[in-house]
Amino acid sequence: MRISPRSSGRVKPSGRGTEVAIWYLMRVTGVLLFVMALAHFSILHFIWDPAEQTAEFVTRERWNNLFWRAFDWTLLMLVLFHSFVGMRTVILDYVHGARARVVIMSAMWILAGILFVIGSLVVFTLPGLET
Amino acid sequence: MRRYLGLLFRYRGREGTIAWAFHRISGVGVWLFVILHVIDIYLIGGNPDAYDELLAFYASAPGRIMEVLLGAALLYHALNGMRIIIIDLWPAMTVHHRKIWWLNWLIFFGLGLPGAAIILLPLYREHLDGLLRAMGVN
Repeated sequence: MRISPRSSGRVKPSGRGTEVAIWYLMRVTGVLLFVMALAHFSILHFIWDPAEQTAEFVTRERWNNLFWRAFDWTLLMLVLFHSFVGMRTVILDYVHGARARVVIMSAMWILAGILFVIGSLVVFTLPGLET
Repeated sequence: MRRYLGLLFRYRGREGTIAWAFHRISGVGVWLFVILHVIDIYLIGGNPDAYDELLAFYASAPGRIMEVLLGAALLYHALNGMRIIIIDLWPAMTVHHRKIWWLNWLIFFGLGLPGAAIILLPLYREHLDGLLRAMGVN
């Protein structure tokens, strides 16, 4: 487990490999999520109350709009990347056995794949979009 | 469990360690909600009645309290993440990292308390209306 002594972020890995790319991508997706996830939360918790949100509301109102479908799908891609790569960091910190790592990480990538597929499917196939 | 809690707080740093532990806990929390949220959205296509039932739970008192906790985790993780990025990009800011941490809490409560009040409003609206009437307002 490595903790930067000067902040609470991870120390930037040295070299030019995958780990450095991940380090940068976590920060890029983090900034995008700062804007998009907080906007998404604010719209669906402050402007619309959950009491008003039904399947019909999403089909007829919220997702009857190409912009919001594209926004929500982009947000899904960003959050899946950021959260699963973040979970990888957490798991590698606490799980040290080589076998256990393979088993747990395989399960994680399968879960990420399932969420990618069903999340994309509903964004792209839910009827109601009138263009 | 105790072992992991111990591990989480093993580093006896000050604000930096707490910031790191909260970042990790809030991150895992939001990840769990993302799994639930993709499944609930999938229900709109697969089983709209089940979606409506789940949303009715989200709008209930326990649902709203969980909603506030989710918002808190998301806001904390977002603010602390920006603090990490600022220090990574601009190492000279390191000397101020504790100040930025306290500024984060100021923003957290400044935005979070009104936000929580809006989310929980349906739970206390009647009492608020009663109070306002008793005070002679409207």
